[in-house]
Amino acid sequence: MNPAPPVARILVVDDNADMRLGVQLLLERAGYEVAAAPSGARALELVRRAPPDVLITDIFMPETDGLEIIARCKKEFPGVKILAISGGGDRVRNKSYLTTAEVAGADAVLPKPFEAAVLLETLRGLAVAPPSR
Amino acid sequence: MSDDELRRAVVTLSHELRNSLASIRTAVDLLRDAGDEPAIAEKALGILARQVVQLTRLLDDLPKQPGGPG
Repeated sequence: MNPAPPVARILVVDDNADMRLGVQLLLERAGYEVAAAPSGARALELVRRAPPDVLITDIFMPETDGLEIIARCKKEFPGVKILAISGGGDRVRNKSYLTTAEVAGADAVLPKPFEAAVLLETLRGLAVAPPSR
Repeated sequence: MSDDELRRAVVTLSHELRNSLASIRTAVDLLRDAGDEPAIAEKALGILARQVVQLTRLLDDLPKQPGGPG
């Protein structure tokens, strides 16, 4: 008998506590193992301690923003898939934050708000499926 | 307020509204799927209640327009 596949691990980074909680609950109920961080600094700490399969990060955050997290994570852990999420904001050199996130190395982007089904489909698109239950 | 200040205020408001809507959207999806798990429903309702306060605060902070609703 084959051992059960490992549970995909996801790190959710958002400075909005309710967004963090909601996404964490949705993903846990879908079968993922989920950790959450309220800031870029904390996220990088967690990634360095145990790189997740996927990092889901907000873009517009104080201090270490999502673009910096993406760049650092891709440099140090190129195997970690990154999904950038954003409610928009001012533009960076006339490009939207999500376009800039893709340039920085995000594997996928989602504008806020998004439906749970779209989030789960995007994760499957990154070849990260929850274990079958 | 200059055009640039107005543009930045609109960008910030749009960002805040989208973040609140994203939390609400997620909470609605959680509630829809909560089934017989009251703890999940309770957390989702908490998110909705907090975001109603947040949206109300955002609207209260908008500059009042002459002749607009009081």
